[in-house]
Amino acid sequence: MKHLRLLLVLAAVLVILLAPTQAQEPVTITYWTDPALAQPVSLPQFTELAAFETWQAEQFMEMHPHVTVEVRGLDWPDLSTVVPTALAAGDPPDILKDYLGRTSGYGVEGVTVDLFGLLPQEEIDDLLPGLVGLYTIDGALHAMPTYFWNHAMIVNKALFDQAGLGEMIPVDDRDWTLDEFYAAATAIKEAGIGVDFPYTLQVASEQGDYDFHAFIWGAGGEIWNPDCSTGFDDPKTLAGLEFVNKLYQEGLINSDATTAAYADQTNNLFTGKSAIMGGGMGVLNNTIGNAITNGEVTVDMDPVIVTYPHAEGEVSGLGVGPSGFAVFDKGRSDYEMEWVIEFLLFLNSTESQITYTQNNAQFPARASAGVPLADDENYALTLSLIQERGTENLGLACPGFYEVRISQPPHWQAMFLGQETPEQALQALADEAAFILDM
Amino acid sequence: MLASFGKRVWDGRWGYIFIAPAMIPFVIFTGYPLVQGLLLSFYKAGVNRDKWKYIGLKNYTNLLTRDPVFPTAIKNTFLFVLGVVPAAMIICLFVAVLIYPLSQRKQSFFRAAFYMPVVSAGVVLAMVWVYIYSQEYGLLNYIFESFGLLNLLNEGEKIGWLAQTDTALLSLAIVVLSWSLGQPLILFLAGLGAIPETLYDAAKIDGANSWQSFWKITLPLLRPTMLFVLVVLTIAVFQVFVVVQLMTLGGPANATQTIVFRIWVTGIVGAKFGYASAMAVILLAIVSVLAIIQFKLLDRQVT
Amino acid sequence: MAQNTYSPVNNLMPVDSSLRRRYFVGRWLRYLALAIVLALAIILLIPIVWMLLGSFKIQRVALAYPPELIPSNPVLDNWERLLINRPSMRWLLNSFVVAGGIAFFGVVTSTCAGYAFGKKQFPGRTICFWLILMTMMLPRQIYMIPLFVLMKNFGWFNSYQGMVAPYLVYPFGVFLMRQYMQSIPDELLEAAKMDGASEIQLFRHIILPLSRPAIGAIAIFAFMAGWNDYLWQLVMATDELWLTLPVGVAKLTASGVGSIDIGVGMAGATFAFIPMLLIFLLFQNYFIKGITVGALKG
Repeated sequence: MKHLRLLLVLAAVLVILLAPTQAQEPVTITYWTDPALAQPVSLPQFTELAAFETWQAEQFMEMHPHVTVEVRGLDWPDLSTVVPTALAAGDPPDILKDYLGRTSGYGVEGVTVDLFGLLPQEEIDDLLPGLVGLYTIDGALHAMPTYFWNHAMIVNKALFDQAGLGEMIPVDDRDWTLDEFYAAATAIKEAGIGVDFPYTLQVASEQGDYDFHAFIWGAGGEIWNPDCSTGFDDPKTLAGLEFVNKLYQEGLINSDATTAAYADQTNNLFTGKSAIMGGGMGVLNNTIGNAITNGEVTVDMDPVIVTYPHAEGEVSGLGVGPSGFAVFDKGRSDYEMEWVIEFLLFLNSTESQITYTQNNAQFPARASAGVPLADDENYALTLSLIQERGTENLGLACPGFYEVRISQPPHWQAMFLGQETPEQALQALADEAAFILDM
Repeated sequence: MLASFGKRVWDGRWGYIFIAPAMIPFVIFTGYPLVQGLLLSFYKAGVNRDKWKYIGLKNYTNLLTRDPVFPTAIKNTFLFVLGVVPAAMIICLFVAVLIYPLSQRKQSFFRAAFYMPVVSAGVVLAMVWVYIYSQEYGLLNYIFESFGLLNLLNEGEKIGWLAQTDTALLSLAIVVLSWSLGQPLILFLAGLGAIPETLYDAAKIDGANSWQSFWKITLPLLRPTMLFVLVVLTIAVFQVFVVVQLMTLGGPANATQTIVFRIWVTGIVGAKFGYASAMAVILLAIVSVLAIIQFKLLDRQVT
Repeated sequence: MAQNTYSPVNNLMPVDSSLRRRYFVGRWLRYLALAIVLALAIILLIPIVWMLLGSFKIQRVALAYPPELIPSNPVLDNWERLLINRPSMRWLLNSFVVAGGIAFFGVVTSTCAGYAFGKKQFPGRTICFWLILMTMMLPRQIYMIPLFVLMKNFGWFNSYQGMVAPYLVYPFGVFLMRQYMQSIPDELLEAAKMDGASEIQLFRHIILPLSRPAIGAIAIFAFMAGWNDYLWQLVMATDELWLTLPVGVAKLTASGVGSIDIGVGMAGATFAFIPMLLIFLLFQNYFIKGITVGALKG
């Protein structure tokens, strides 16, 4: 660790010393970033959108005065609107940091450069092999993975303890069946301690879909099969869907799920209206941690991580989704490309990944980054759960992923509101997916 | 023949000079992109411009025969127009007739109150109304509860105004309605002011009661104003977008999808530029037919 | 026809109230109806008041049920975060420049074109007028993509000209001006021509002074249209400093880790509302005149 830092400082000094002797041609790099690190825990000075990324860019510019980096922070809605429009106009950024579900779409369209030929082999070898596989589209590395988040279930055990139901939460093996989950949810609702909706989710937009899909995976169903066909016709998918629908119809899920925003979901948890929600380390450490600091939590809070419930004989893996840096194809000169890659490697260095994942409570994509939050028992637990139970297939790199994703919420809404049966919803989705993939 | 045309052009040269400041930017920033958009509707066009491909009418056939959401969007757009426009006209007429006789100060108060939502941007109102409609902490449910209406309507349970398919469209329509009242009201007040008193005096002499003079004098003389309001409101409501984008995203269960919102979701979010352009062309066709009908009416009545 | 027997344009301003005692219905029924109208007016004002109150609530209070009607512990945090942590003053400036530019060019193009369409004869007049009129009803989404490409070629992202250019022509203004020009008697122009006035002089010394009420109206409506042009400004600004006020404010609620901060959102909404409110209060008469000028034939 120390050696690396020393090396970096030495390198920086060398560059500064050399800089005046070889006046380099100026390069401008545009870098657009997602808002994932807008509210880190231990870097409170970076609460604004892209503040951290701007700080990184400033460091790079100090080392290389001839390089100008223009940083732009995009919030989630902008990422799906501004980037495609910019691409259509032929004016994308040089580097985009976004999650795989969206960059894969750009990879499929062929507007990103193949990083296999551009990154040094030792850099690629340092990335987790599973991630490199996910990021390889048509034989090309369409983006360079930087970290991944996880998705599991977060239970506020304090409320269960308060109702004398603490035993119902599987704190030993973090594993439960759909029936056990159902029993616990019903019991806490009936306990009369103000838990109106034991499990909180939202199907108003696609943003909350893992909280929903996880039950389908738990039942053994799939949204995406490994061959990138959709799993809407799988009977186990139907079984999972019927289970979620039962939860909603029996009042075990918040009744405003069809329009709720993410803030409504977290608010339900913070005020004790709900006791369980989906989320990973980021939610646990940052969202809940910040809310406690800001005084938004009005009940006792003892969040524990468990995997989603599963049907007998099935194993519930974790939802895992990576984010990465895509470099768009803009017809650069070799010289410009050289500096874009240089900046990319700076952004995605082992050091940067450690800082980033520590503060975002995520998992680095480089093997050399090790386990950044080794002291955090939930972090270690999550890693062991991933190793033990594997990950679910989110289909992030499948063609049409994003469109199929946004076609789902209306049908989940219709099902909750009693306008479609689970069978009808799945049939409609299968038809729509066929239409989307056909177009 | 040609010479006489040339002469007419020459005689009209000052006309061309005066329309030039408008026509030149119009051609560059509206005409040209519009034609481009039209051409785009025959292409499969995504974010990669090298892959754009001519596919003839396939976008249109897909849209009209296979698209699962677009027909709903057309239906909802018409529901918006058919709901908001007549409601706004009736309310404004009612209010205008009632406050017209009031003193100048009282009239100003009402005018300002009805105009306030027009003054605030659509974005502003959408943000506030989402908060008001919220099922869990919204003001509307609180007001309904205070008046005992929740017991009456929903067995005491809080209502998810934007969460239910049967209330969502109505809830959005009310927001749109709230900013559709200000301008018609002022128009109707002006229209009333333009009706000569002598007509009413004459009617009185002929023995008409005041109810009759409302039907026989006020309404017919307000007809041009009403037509104008009809046209302007229809155009505005047809483009309803901000409330959908900021309040429901077209949900729940597609209950609030509108054409313009579909264009945005497909073209901008989904990056299917060709397909979205085909939607836009269909919208253009619908709006054009309506506009021609309305302007024919308006032209006859007003100009 | 009946409507030809009066001339509304001369009659726009309210008449002496003694002439307006026209009630149509009995007294008590009228009071009841007025009560309904008053209730309606109050309902329309509630969201604005609620927004103002919400801007002083911390998140926990804003999400409380039953809601605190008057915040018991009002805080300025939201305003502080809006005005100090965000470039909100810059957004305000951007909005003023963009809306002001749209208003200025809207007036220039509308006046010239309205004059030509209303008073000049030339081949192609009708078709040009209808073309412009048609765009009055087109949502910009229809041709946004090609327009975006065009702006890219001009290099006009993050610039005022990029946000103003698509609105150099304000179709409603052209329509309104044409209507207004038609109400100016031809004899007036003929007389001036007889006196040897050139076309330019005619326009400057007769047309412009006479169309002042319509110019005021177009300026205000184009300004409002520019102020509210959410989508295009959102697309054109790729830098936080170039956001306009409504766009910047709408983003307040969606920043961070997907959370919605109601208090800051309401403070932002209030902040975006105040300038337009002031403009309305200052120019109320222009609003009223403007709305009516276009509607009624002279």
